[in-house]
Amino acid sequence: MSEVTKEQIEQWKAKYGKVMKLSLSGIDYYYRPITLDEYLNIQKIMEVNQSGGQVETAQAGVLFPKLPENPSAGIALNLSEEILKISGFLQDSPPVEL
Amino acid sequence: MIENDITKWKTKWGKVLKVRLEGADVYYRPLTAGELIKIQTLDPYSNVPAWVILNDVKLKLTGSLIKITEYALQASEIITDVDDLRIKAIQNREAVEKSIQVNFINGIIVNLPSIYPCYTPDELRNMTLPQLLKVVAMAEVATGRELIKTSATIPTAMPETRETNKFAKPNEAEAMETATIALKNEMAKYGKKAPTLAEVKKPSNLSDLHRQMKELSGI
Repeated sequence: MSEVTKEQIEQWKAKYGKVMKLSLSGIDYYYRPITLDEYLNIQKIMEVNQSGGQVETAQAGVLFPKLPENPSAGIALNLSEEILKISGFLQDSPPVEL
Repeated sequence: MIENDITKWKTKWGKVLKVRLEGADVYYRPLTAGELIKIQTLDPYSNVPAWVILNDVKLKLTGSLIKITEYALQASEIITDVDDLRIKAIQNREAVEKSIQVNFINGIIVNLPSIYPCYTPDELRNMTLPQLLKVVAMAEVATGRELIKTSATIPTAMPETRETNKFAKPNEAEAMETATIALKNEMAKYGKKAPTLAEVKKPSNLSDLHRQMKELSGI
């Protein structure tokens, strides 16, 4: 498996804004925020497949290594949660009427 | 100052909300009726954030765009059911009626004592609405002034007769106003309150009206 270089990371950052790394079961996964189009596409797939969307989210957001078609549930779940976090889905605080 | 902006925005849009996204305070408003129609055919998440965000903030993250769109939709109080629409219309109508009542009451309490000094603001405040309306009627009789201006026509119990037509003539009306102000002052001198319209029997002329008012007041 080839290593990710600093230059590669800089290229990704220039393209996607943010790049993060998460170690799971001894493997370093590099991932980025998903775009609006990707998110809406995932929602459509979830409706059709009646799925939770974790696999689709992980596959959309992971930059390296390429995920298999059916990654393990734990890997998909952890990665999708982290990807949604950096994509702005983490709740800051509820809105307030002024 | 942001407070000035908030006031301006509220004046324009009615409702202004604030949420923290991407480390910044985002001020936003509900969607307008026109915008709600547009998003039936346009993609809301690509359009709504630009419409509703009021301050100079550009959201970059997908989650932020989704959230602000959904918050704006929530704030727009979208009605999906005809029954909900009916309930909302009734609630809004009740709110307007309450506000008219409150404004009317405040207006009476503030202004009436200056033209009809028989009651203090505190005394008026402790009356029920029917009692307050009776006092307004007494003040109108005593001062000859219409305190509640309305274009509505209310059927009167007293049918139009030659006698009441007499009061409608301009010179008679002026004389009545002057005379009733004098009568009111006389009653106030004796610490007497003016009788209500209901207590005055159908007067034959102006003098008869004044005579009855004096008798009823105990002057």
